[in-house]
Amino acid sequence: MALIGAVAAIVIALAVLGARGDADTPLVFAPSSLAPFEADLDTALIESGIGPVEWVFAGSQSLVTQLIDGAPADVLITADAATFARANAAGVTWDDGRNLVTNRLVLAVAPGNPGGISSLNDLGRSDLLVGVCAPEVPCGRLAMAATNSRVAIDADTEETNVRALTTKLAAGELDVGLVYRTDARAAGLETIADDTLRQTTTAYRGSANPDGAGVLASFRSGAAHAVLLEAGFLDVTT
Amino acid sequence: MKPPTARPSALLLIPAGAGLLLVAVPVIGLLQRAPWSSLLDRLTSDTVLDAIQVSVTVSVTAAIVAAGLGLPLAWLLARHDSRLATIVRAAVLVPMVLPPVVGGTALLFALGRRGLVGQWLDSWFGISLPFTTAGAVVAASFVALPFFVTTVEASLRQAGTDLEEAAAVTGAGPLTAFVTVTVPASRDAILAGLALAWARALGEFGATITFAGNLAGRTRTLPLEIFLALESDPESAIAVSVLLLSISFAVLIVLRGRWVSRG
Repeated sequence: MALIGAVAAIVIALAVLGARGDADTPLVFAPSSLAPFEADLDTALIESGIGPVEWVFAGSQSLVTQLIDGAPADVLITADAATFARANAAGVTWDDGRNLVTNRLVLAVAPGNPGGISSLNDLGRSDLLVGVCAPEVPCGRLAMAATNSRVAIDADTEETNVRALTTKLAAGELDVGLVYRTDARAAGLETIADDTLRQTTTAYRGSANPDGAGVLASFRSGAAHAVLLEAGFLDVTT
Repeated sequence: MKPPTARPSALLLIPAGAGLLLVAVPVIGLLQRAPWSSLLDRLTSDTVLDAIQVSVTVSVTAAIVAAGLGLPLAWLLARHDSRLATIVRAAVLVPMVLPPVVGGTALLFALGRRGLVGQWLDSWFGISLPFTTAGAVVAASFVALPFFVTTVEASLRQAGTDLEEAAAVTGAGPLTAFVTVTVPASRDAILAGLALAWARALGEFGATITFAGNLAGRTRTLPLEIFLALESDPESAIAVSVLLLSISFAVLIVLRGRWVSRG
């Protein structure tokens, strides 16, 4: 009997743990490039009267896959339009979406710039350790778009998310890489200006159901938007 | 002694069945999504063949490294019961319980070109492990070593010291006794340890991508290929998963008995 009791207890515990904490709290699916700013976003949303939210941070592609597989969400934000379009085509968004902020890549270098990087062309140097995001993920797609007509990247690694790449640059294990300016700023990475990159941006796009409408509005023009601008994201018009 | 009754065994069947379902249902879930008709095409694409080649090189080398370093380690642990041995055993087992990503980060901080040891490897010998196939081998060996050590240590313990003592009586030195008596006597356990270490190295993901990065033909192993394909081509990802699953399952079937009953 004790055994059956234990099994029953486990089943009940799983049911409790598996249930959504609070049905009234909007569940926000957001790309991992927003994860570093979770605490600031929480504060901004609560102080502006929209209230607390629950976050699910993951790569944009993974978020969309989870939604297609039936995950519940009230807000979806992706790090690029292509991923949003995939979600839209699969019918897991609530409308055609709105652009929230934009981000762009910067040429980030190891502390002290040991490789002597001066422009985007250095990404083609075989004597350097060069890192980019894999072309399967938004930051990698953007890197391809930004460098296509300029330089063939001689990559030593194609990271599966931008934060793994940032960590390796900050540790000095890579000489140079293309990361979002927000990640470079959060990690305190040294960056090299290059005009080509200024022209290539990615739009963060979002959609929400009525429960998440307030949160999405805040990301478009409210307190959450202000947090992102502070973090180095850019207005849609820039 | 009362003979075992049916009642307690029926009670045991419930959690036992639930346990089996816990591991079996996800596998079935994967198999029912597999693109069976195009499986062969997907598994022979250039990217997958590249990943197979890297995976074979890395996992086989890592298993050999784990055995080469792990056999002496297992012997020392089996023959010593000091507090130091307890600490060493715990240290060797750490990669089993550590999240692999943490292991990879630790490797980066230790063996990276700016790392604790790596900076000397770099400046003295010009060796830099991250982002190389050798780095992927180091990452896979790191996670595979404890599987070899625990399997072989258990067997060495069970075998006891009688044979080694007999060898000593005949005048054999400790090293000779180890090579000529201990190792042959533990052959089954060593093979089982090799197979387990190899299977673990083959499935390694987190430490590899964190320490060795991800580049086709150099460090992109099958698990990394699966992870990337999940973003762009889920069907191919499942096809490669089925391949890995079949290999692992085959290894464990072959291991039956050797690993469990003969310890």
